Amino acid sequence: MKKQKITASSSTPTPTIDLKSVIRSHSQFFDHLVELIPAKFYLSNDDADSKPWYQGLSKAAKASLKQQSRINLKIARRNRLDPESKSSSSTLHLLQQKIRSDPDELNLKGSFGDLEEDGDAEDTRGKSIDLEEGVENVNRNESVTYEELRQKLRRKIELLRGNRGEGGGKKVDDKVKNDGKKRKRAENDGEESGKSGNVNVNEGEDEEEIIEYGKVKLGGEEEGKNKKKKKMSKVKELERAKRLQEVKRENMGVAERESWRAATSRAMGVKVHDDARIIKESIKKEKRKKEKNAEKWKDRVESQEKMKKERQQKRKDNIMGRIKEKKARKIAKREKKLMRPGFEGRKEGYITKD
Amino acid sequence: MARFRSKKKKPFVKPIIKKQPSVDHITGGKIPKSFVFPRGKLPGPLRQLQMDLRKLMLPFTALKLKEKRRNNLKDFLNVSGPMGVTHFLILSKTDTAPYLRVARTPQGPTLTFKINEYSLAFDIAQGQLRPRRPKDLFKNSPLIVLSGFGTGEQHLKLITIMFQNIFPAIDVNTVNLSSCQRIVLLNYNKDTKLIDFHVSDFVTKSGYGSESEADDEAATVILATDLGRVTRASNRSAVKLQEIGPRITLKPIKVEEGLCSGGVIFSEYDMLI
Repeated sequence: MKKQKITASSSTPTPTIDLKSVIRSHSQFFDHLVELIPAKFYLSNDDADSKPWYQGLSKAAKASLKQQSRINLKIARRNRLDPESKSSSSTLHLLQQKIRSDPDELNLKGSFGDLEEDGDAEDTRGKSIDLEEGVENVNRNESVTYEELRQKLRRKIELLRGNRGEGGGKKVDDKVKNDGKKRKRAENDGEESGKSGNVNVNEGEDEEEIIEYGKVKLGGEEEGKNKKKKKMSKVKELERAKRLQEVKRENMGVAERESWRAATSRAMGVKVHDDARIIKESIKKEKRKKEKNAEKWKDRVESQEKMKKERQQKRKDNIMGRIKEKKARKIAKREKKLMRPGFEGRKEGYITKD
Repeated sequence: MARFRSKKKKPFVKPIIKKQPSVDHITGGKIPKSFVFPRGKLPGPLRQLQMDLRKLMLPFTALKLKEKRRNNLKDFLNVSGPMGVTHFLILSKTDTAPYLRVARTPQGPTLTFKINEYSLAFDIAQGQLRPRRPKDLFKNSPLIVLSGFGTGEQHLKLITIMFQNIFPAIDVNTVNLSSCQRIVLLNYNKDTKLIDFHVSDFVTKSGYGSESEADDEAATVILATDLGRVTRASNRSAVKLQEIGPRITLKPIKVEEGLCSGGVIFSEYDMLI
């Protein structure tokens, strides 16, 4: 590597060196390098603001300082992101500003050290004018194109907004309007269910995008409906079903309509009784259940009676037993007195009959 | 002896089996419950799809339903009566395609759909950069949105009503916004007669939506109640959907009057009803 270097330097003996261009290229190179380093690190500002001291201050002072720093941050952010203002955040620019402000105080510390301080200062000072102009030009160009870009963006947004209004715009509006779900006026009136409701939004205007939602419950509808509904007796239902079947057999249109209606109401949860066979079976079941229940009731009553009788009988027996016992005891007591030795008890009469 | 010394006799505590309410205490109506089961042997991906469907119907479904080959439809019917199950979702497969039948239990209509394409929830999660799985996702039943079904055809109306009643009703006044976390989107395409089925999850962001979005007004929503720590009521928030569930393309084929029986009142192929 060293050899290469030496050969390179020896092979450039041009006497008429264009000093200006060389210096310019060098300075540009250094500017690029400086540009890479963020200003925070390259430039040191030993002002009073750079290192705020919070510890020894009073509470109020601290608070005010904090607020001040916050405001500063906000301003800095604004300046950074503001497209109108000329971008002054590049390290080079700040450097030049600094040099312009105090050309005597050259605090150009960096990795170069003190030896090259003066050299750098001169370079930058010499080239500062050219570079400034260059930077300003660039800024102007940038601002112009930035303006254009912003306008373009605005135009595009408007276009997209406009386009959306034609196609799915309704959808979006619906979503915003219906924050949740809403109610739809049901088309088939026969079916009630105060709970089911869904919105059919903008049917007239926009036929393409009709959106429906799930079931919603709204209060205030059920009380009215509950009063009307009454259960038909099963016999009546059976008759109705039979009649329906006959009509269905004759008329196909009616049959179809009826089957669709039954399917929809079943899907909604309403119980539809249109099959005569099932109704008959359920009638039979009900009858059997009733009979069984009646039987059970009879058995219960019977057993109750039986138990009652038994208990009463037992009571009677016990009472009679007690009375008899008492009498027997008395007789025994009386007889005991006459059980003298040599006697057999009470005389029962004379031995001879007369 | 030392082995048994530390054995403490614990008092017998009867395990509390949480009973699911059959009547919704908020809306007062009957809560629809469902069974998802296969008929016939299903291949692996279809079994996963069945699991995804079960997760979709949570919490009002039997997640670990075990069925045997020799169970008939009648067996399921017998069990569904006492348990209050109202809907059956039956998956089956033939040589041509897998089919999904949605039926209402006691003697309700049966809708038969042919599954053209499907993607499992697992695959969808793999395709996303940041898949979301909040823990309480399956604690509440999903909302449902149907679009494009309003063309007025009878079978479409029946399909909407059927799907609307599979999920329990929501009381607008008392519902807690944080309990609505999933949404099922069904979109009917008139030209191809296919129904797209998506399941998504809500992602809300309080404050305005991102500044780069061109449609600030439309995508933001004013919340009625508090949703979380940050999103407060009556504040604008941006709502986005992130897909979580299976994606299925269904084609309605048949509508029967009874539970997989009865007269055919609509048929896609054969118009001789």
